[in-house]
Amino acid sequence: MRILALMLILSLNLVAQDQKDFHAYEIIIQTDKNTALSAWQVEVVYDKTKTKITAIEGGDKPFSNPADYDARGLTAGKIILASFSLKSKDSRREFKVAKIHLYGPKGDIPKIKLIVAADVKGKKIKAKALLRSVKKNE
Amino acid sequence: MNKFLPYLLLITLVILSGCSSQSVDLGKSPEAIFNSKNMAMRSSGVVAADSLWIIKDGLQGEAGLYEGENALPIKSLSIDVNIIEFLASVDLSVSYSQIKPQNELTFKYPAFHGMLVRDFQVNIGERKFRAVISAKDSAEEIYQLAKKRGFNAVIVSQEAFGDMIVKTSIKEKSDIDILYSYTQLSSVSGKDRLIALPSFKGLENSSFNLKLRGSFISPLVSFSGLNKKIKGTKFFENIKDRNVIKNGLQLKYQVQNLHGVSSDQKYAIAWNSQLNIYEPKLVDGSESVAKCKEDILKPAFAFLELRELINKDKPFNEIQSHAIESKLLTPITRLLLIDAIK
Repeated sequence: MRILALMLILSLNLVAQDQKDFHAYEIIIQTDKNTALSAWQVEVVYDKTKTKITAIEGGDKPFSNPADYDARGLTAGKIILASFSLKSKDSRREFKVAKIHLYGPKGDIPKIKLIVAADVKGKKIKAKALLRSVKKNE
Repeated sequence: MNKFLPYLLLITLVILSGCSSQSVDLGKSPEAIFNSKNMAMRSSGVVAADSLWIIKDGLQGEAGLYEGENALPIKSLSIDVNIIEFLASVDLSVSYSQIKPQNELTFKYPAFHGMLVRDFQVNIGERKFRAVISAKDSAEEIYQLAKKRGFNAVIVSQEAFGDMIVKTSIKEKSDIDILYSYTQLSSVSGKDRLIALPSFKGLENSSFNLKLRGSFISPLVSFSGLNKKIKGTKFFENIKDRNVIKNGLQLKYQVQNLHGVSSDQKYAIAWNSQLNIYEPKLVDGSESVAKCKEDILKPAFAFLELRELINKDKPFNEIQSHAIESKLLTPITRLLLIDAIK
């Protein structure tokens, strides 16, 4: 009986995961050491058959203006987002650079890859990109 | 013949933008059109228009954010017009203060001369969003769903030859900025260039800023103006007459001493299928025009800005195409913005 109940819960969970909803992810760039991040470019891979991108939102300063994106990526399942700022001053290790808004199954978590990050001098810096699910007031 | 060349280029651009394709024999190859004797693409010099007008009056249509029939008061309006030969790039920002939660508001903006929307952003309070292009059917379905479920939602549409319509469903009381960029053709009336801007409803008791920049390729000159004050540049020493109407709705710049560049020039616009762009070319008579393909007659999903003369030291002048923009809004597309955070 317990096994049956567990299976039911699991299957219900799977159904819930597959149900389409609106959700958003913060794009975060973490650098190896304290840096004033000035330019970045990432690639976000998502399931184009199930998920649609519904908006691009700016991140924290100095990237509060929405990032640029390649229009082809809106239907390709792989979108490039990029931005730069010459006003970068604050050195730190984590930057919330953008938010990506989606409509699709919540269980379908996109993947992100950092293409490049650079400091105010245009010098490439060691960093990684990650996606963090975001909710109201976060 | 010289003075007709700008008009002919305009006609060509209008054809490309699909505004007056009925008057063109679409069976001809673009090269044939460009080289047609009737089109007289060859010229012994180029003379730009003698004056430039920016017109903003009720006759050109009205813009504004409407709740039903009522236009909401504008907090501030900023229009940055950058004119490059026959094209005007317009960056427009209109701000509204403390908009109450509404099921749906409608922002209308008249479309002029093949208006081509290049970017669309909405700021809701401190948050800044960029809309994304989407197929019409799915965009409308997602917009309705988001609206029903209480998410902030915006959808932008523009039917063929129709106004730009923005429907917004904002669920929290907040300041709203609507920012968008578009390119439009300037039209020609006699020796004047006409750039149309609409009247804005709800502009009473609010600030208005008009920034004007521009350049003509032939010859390479530029001008700039800010609000109703004209910033003097070398170029403006040649201004014969300028007329600023009191309410700032109409500006006229009369320009003298525009001379042609060199003799025997030919304009052409080539479709670069690899890059998916149109490439404007100005070459001398001895140079072959870049490859023109039948693709050029496909619906214009791209546009062009002519920025600068390059290769000045070379035997021919070539105008470099720059900032090729995608046409985001067509009858089968929408711009969608759903704030998925609730």
